[in-house]
Amino acid sequence: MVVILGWKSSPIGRSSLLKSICNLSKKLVAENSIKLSDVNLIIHAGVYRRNFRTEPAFASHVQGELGIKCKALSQESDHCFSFDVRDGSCSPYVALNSAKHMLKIKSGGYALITIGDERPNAQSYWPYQPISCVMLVALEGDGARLESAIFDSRSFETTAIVSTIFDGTKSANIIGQYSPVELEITAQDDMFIGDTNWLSGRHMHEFLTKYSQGITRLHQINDNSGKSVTATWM
Amino acid sequence: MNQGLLHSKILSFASHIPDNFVPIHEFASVGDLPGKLDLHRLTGIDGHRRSDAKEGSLELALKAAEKCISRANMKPEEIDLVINCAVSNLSGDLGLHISPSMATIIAKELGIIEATCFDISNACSGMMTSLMIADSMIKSGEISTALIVSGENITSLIDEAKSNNLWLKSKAIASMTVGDGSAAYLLGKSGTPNQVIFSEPFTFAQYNKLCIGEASKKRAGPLMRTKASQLQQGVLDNLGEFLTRSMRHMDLDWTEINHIYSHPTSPKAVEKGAEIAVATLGPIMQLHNISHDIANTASTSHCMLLEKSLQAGKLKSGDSTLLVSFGSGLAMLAMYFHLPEGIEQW
Repeated sequence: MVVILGWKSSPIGRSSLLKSICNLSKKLVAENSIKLSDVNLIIHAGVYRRNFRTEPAFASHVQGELGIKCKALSQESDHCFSFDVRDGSCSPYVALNSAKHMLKIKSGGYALITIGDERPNAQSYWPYQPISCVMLVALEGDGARLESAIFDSRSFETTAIVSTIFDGTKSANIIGQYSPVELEITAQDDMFIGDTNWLSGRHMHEFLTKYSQGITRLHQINDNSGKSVTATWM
Repeated sequence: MNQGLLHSKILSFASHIPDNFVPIHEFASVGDLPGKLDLHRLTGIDGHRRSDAKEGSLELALKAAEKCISRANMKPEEIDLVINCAVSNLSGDLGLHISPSMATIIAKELGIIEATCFDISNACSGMMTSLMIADSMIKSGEISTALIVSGENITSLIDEAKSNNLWLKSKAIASMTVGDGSAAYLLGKSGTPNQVIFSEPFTFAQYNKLCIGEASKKRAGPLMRTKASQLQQGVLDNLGEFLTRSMRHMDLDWTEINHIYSHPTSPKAVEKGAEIAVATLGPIMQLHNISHDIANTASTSHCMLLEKSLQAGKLKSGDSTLLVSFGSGLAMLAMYFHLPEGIEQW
């Protein structure tokens, strides 16, 4: 069980994903009356990074940009751990579940979960208007409490896999075409289900907005690949 | 260290080491590199393994996973969690996999239907990071069995590096120290505590710009740019404190650990690290610095070395083993475990 103590979101617009995430993170931490140095764990959930970057983890760039515990190790020094998770649009719940476990290991502090995507390059077709979302998470406290997140891969189809191809005419690696899975969605009336074409930052922004208004505590994300995750919040 | 009454253990591990050995003089002879740089003398690498042209990260990962599941005498449907932690996620024709998780595809190919599947990305430390999360999920009772897998199809980095003028792009030279391979671990429940113990995990983000992997801007596939000496210095500057602190955290005696495996950036780099380790903590029982013919295989590297040790008859059931991991970012963490029972019969 993890608790979202606070969250913030914003369209990344013409900013970079890193700037957008770091600006939101600074505001979030300030609003919750904690210091950046209280963050022990950073997990980034997203699919698209600038120029299809694969290493290092985006979360390590967030840590570096925010200057969180970037110091040499001693026997008593306090440090942060940063890594990325990925599973299409379902990524936010992978991050939340990973935070639940990692906060037991990196105990005594907060996790910063960052969610967002950005256009990899100008040559790639990009129909999205990404929203960055950051969440301050702990194992206990006041806030939205994640009771369960159940992942389902049974409808996954390999025709829906997204990967890059090299476009010789553009002389660039670009996002390749794929065939989204058309899911038959049946859900409870009070369950919030976003559009399958949304990226993960938008999914969490829309759900948390509705949760904050007391409209729903059930959330389902259906990924284009046929995968889904159903979450119950308290 | 124990979260409760539940414990975990390594049920099996396996690597696929491609047969095709490419000697270093075929791709980085002294005349090829700026300033008559002798990459073999500098790194201790004799060459690397190259996967077949049609084999990508997925195909490599499947080979390791199938061997790993077979060694544990398990059925795929008994696996509750699949994590893929490859850095490359590259197909045989150099397409970078994007979505959903590669773990989902691996699970489908293996006939693992009901498992939770996702990818972890933490450069060369992705494997240790994934094992740490899976270990916590088992100890919390959330799952019973986890498959952690990675296929690294990265030798195209060498071709990319050689397509540049290396006098002008010296940061591409480190790309010549990589090799292909794959790795898998099965982690399950144990009735005995402390069969698997992790160090504290650290990210020293002050070094996060020293090794960058991303898509090439002029050819299919990825590129890697590394300030190798600065990154290595970052590791060495923190290594003594890291090992001392990790031994204390894990409540271990360094000199009693049967096998030590360090992330093999290169055999020469491991030698430098070992000097610090010995000076700080005392003698090492067995350091398996044996990456000279497989090179640096990123997230799969420790398991590739374990497989080589296994093939050489160096491993015994119950032996204590420490894997020390470094990844760009800069991530540092370690895993201690006991080798599975029956390993001599694998």
